Amino acid sequence: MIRRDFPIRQPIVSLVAAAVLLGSAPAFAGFTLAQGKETPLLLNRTPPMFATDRAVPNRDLHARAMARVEGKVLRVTLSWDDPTEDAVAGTKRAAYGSDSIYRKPTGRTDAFGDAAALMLPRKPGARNPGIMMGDRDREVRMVLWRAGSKVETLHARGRGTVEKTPDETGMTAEPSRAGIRRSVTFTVRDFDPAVPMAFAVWDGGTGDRNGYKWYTPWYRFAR
Amino acid sequence: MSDGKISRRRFLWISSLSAAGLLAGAAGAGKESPPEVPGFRFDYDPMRSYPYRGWESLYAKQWSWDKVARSTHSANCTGSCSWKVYVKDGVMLREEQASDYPRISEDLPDYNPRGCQKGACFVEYVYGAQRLRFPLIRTGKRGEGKWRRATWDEALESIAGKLLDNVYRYGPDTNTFFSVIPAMSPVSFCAGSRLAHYIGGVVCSFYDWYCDLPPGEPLTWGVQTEACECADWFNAKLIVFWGANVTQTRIPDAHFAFEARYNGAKVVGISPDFNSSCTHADLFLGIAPGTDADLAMGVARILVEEKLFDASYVREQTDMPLLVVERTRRFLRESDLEAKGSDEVFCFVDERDGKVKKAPGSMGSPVKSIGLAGAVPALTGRYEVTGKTGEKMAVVPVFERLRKVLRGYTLDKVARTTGLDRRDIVAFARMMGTRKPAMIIHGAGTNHWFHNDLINRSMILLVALTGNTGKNGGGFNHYVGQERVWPEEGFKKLAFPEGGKKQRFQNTTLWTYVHSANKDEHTYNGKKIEKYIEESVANGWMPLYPKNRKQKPRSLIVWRANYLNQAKGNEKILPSLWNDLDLIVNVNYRMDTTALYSDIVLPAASYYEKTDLNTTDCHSYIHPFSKVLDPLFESRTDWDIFSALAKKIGEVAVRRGLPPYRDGQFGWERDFTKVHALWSGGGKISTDEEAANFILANAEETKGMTYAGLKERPRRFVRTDPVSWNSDVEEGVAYTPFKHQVYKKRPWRTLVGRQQFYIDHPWFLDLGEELPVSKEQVTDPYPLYWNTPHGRWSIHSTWRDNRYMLRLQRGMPIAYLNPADAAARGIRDNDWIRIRNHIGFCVVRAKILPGERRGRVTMYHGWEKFLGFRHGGWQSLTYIKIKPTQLVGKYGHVNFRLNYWGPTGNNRDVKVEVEKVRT
Amino acid sequence: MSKMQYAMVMDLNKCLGCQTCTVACKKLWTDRDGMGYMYWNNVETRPGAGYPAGWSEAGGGFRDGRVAPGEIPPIGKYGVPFEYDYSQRLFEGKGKPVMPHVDPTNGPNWGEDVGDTDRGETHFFYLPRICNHCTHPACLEACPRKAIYKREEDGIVLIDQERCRGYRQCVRACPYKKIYMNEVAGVSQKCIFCYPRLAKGTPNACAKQCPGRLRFVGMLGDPLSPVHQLVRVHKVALPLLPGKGTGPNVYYVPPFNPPRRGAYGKGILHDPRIPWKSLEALFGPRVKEVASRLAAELEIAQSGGKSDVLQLLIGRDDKVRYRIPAGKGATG
Repeated sequence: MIRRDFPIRQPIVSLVAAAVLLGSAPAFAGFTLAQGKETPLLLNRTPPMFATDRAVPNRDLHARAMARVEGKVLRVTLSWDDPTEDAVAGTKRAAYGSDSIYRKPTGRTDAFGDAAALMLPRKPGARNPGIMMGDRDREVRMVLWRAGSKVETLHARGRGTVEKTPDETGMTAEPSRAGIRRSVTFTVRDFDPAVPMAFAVWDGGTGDRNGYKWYTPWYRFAR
Repeated sequence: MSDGKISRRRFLWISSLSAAGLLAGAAGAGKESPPEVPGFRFDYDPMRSYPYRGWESLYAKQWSWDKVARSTHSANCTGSCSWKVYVKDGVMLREEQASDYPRISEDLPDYNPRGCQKGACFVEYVYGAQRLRFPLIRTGKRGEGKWRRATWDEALESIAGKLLDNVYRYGPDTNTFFSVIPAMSPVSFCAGSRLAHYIGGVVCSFYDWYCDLPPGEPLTWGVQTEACECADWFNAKLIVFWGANVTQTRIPDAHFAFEARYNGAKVVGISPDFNSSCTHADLFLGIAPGTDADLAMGVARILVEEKLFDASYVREQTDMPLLVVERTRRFLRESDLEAKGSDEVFCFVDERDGKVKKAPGSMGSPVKSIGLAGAVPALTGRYEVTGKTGEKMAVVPVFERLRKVLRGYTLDKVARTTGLDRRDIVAFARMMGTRKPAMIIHGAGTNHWFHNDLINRSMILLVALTGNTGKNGGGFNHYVGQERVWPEEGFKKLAFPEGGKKQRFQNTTLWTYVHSANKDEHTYNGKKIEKYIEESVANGWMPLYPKNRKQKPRSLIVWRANYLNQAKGNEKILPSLWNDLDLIVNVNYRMDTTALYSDIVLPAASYYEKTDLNTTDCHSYIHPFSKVLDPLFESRTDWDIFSALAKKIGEVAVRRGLPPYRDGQFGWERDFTKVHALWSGGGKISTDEEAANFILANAEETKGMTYAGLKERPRRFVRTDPVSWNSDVEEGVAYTPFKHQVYKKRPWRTLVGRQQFYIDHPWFLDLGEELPVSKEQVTDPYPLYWNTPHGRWSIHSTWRDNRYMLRLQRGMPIAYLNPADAAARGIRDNDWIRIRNHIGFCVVRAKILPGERRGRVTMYHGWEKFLGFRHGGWQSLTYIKIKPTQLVGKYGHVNFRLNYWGPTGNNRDVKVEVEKVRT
Repeated sequence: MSKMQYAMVMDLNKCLGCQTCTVACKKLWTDRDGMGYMYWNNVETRPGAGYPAGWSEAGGGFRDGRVAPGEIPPIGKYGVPFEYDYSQRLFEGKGKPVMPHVDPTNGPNWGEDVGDTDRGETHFFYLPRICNHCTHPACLEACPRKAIYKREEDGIVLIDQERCRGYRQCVRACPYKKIYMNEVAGVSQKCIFCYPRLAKGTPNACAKQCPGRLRFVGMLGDPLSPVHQLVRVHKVALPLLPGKGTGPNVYYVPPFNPPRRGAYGKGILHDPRIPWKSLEALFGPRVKEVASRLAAELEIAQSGGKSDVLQLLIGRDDKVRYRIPAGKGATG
């Protein structure tokens, strides 16, 4: 039985889409994460890319976040139910049987990996950056965890401008799993409680990748 | 916009999170105005120009190499294809056809590229898990796969000791040597045959044993096999694929047939199954299995009745006008007419004066030409002649007798027997009679029947009646096995230096049958085959070693061959012949079935690590193997292996103080301490390159060529040695045989000096086979034919275990079933099935194939016993059946000669039942 | 639109089904980690499921002018590349028969020679396939990263191996399913029309190594090239699935089979063994017209006349079959 953590979906998507059209979203404090309190997240679904795409994936997703700030360190745990473990990593060369020169066959041609990300504005500001990777005047930084891969830090100034930030050391992510419940704990040092945060989740088992994903609006931390 | 290359580098690292953004595709990719970010470019149109093309060097680097060397393959595919092997960082990476065969003429399509998918992945064997890296000595049971690594010295010592033991204790003819097809690598063949020669060992045949020899050719033409080179197919106006699936078994040559079609030839495909060659035919004749002689005789009847035969050719080039005595059914001979007349001079009636004349050009004729000098030999009529003692004899020309036989092959009867439509038979016959030149491309599909000689003879009859044999674009061209060594004299001198008369040769079919538990229960004219065998051996028609019939063969050395896997009657051989051998040695680059069941395995250089030569019937060029890299691991070339063995034999002989062995059969004092000196030609042929040059220098065909020169480019043969050949190599013309006979009027190499369709040997007369006829198959009471043809995915057993090839098949052996046969047995595609008869059974996967003939199950041959069978192997169903007429000898041109004449190891008449395996 | 366009013509009446092209391509380009299952060049028996199985019904191409991505075939539709443990049987005495590491249920040539039966008689032909280097590539249109491009100098369509992130929108969009995911490299890969070879004047490996000599290569706009002659002048070659709207640049001389039993003499197309609908499904509605023209040419040749187009299709040597403008002297 799927429990609906958050009752409204499509209207919010429209709302966010409207915000996108405006260029950047106004800094309203509609969504908050309270210290140490597990909160169901508003998850939006990206609309289909092509006319032949399904409107929504065949599996619903429910995510919660629990944020805690201690000193200047934010630790926020994003968790969701994901019964399938989808990791796409380079299949390692391996011996087959005793014939060591042979390579282990590869080939999950249609598999995609699970992933989750936390996004923050680089600096506090009067308006929140665009939910689509920030905008020209409001840079965002991100920490991305992908099943089977290294955690990456990124920054962007709008759609299509994402770049890796290899020297970014203030953000990390740590995954864990308990049964079907999957969690990723993001840690941000030198956290400024004035900046909002947003989350994204990719469920590889339903074909999520790139622009196919679940994402939240901006959340503010409330002590 | 700034330099795309620099920005691209950073762009690379973008995570999967992001790039096109959250709502990227919603409005259509890339349609929004791009953001302005320094160093990043998003305004390009990938349909017009692309800014980040620096990466393209990635693939350019993949197509690069440090070294290229020319080589080829020694797998008996008849291909003889020149390849280049590419080496990078000291590793052979891949190969590609050299594609530099010179053009014969502007009109003929060239031979490039020459090579198939198998040649394109041989490198897999150089480094694959099957590769033999070190000498191995068996520690478990034969076939178990338990070994210990040995030194070369230990392995050779053990072999040398045993060979010498056998010579002195049991006789030199208990040491047996088996290797195949010198043409594909004569130096490697000669390495072992020379050793056999100097230690008195028995050298076994292969071409007849593998049933690739078309026995109708030695019978009709007095040759082993003669075929046109494949470029000559282009000259044809009718091409008949008969028992030959050229798209699968002649991959490098098949294009000539389909290009000939565009040039005006019609193509006829005759086969029980609708196979890939037949898909490109103008007429497909889906014939009932094994009824090919019926069809040929039916077509011959139409040719004769509709007068679509070439009478002047038939009078001059065939035995059709030669007179046969009605009462005895024997040829009328000069010795019948004159007291001192020859048994080998024959007669015809000259139509000009009605007189009996001696036909020129026969074996006993003083005239060494078959030119008729104006005579017009009669083909029809019945005549009376007076014998030397005054008796009257009724005689008729062979043609009369043939017409009588042909009358039995009415259209209705042939249509019924062959399962063909009457209209298609007539259409085919008229094409045969009117389109010139016409050729039959013949193969193992029909040659592997028990009555292969009759099938051959009936087909050869068609191209003889229509005057096609000996002409460009015509003839009966048989391509099964790469049997012809073009530089033949050079090869023979290297292989058997003291000459064939001082060498023990053995027909392998007979050897295997007699020394194994194979038993053919059929009777022939009421007699078991054993009776015929004993009579043949007693008459000296066929040799049988060991000569002392109380002895069994003691040792078997196999190189360049997979004797056990390919042996008919496999299940019977293992517990008998194989079990009786004290020593089985295999020289091989890979662990095949024979190697697996051997006692000592010696690692040979692969095809890309040796120096050798390569020729084929299919073209008129010679090109080399070469050491792309020196032999890998502890492997050695065949030449070096047998050189070391010869040395070791000498060492052991010295150590044991062995006196010379007197070999009574040849009166040869064999001093084994000197074996290596003899083997190496007194040190003049110590290396494989010296051996290659010896062959080239001692043959007319390769005069002036050197091994080093051949590495540059394939060379066309300069001329043919008339001792071995029946046509010249002509500039600008594709080679086809028998021009010497047809144009220069030289006698055919037969008793009668003509194409001989009438064989009056008593056994032929007794069995009713003096003329081509169709005969019942020799089968057993099971419903399905067991058809094991050559296919596209292997050359015999080579490439059967190659991953690249297996992935393009179904990964393991499969048996093809017609949908109706499968449905009747509840078998679905990819089910496991048991195929069985009274000989044995195997368990494999089924593939349902609509094009397969009902009443037949096909498994393309050569699968290794250890791969993919849950039980048995493809030879678990077969047994050896010897045809009595193929034991004949001492009849004119019909005499035992290694790989030229001897019983064939036929296998097409085997029948089986199939059932689903419930798992 | 690129100014120049390489094209290939394959004469299906010369194809042997030998797969030398497949292996030539495999050994040169896709014999690396993560590429085992992929065959940039494959040859499949038609009628049949093809490779990947059911590709021609898996969507892709354009619909109403918009790219319409279809399925991503799972590995089972391509076939898992078999591996074999020879050592245990041959060298270690463990005695198990050598078997593929997975139970075979599919492969790139699974339906070899099967074809179909129509009114009691069998028909089939071989269809060799590479990337079509389309004039309007759906893969390019679908790529969210714009990592696919069409070279302006020769129309070859490439996937930038450094920018691709393996999202597989191109795999979905290609109506020929000729783009393959490399799981190890994390990128999609496809036929590159052997551009490094062409740059040195050496034809594509699949063409140059083809023993059936059925492939013709050149620039479509070059009046002297065989592809121009066959496609534009003689008009005997047709693209595959023209209805998908991508403008493919690989063309096929449509196949014949021999006439049905007893029908010989009435013309090769009087009572054809291959049903027209089966050919039309692959080559579009023009196939009947083109095949009939070819049949007429064949009739001329086999009656002692000379057919210009068939003389071209004979392709006596490399010089006839290939015209590579960048040629700076063939190598390799």
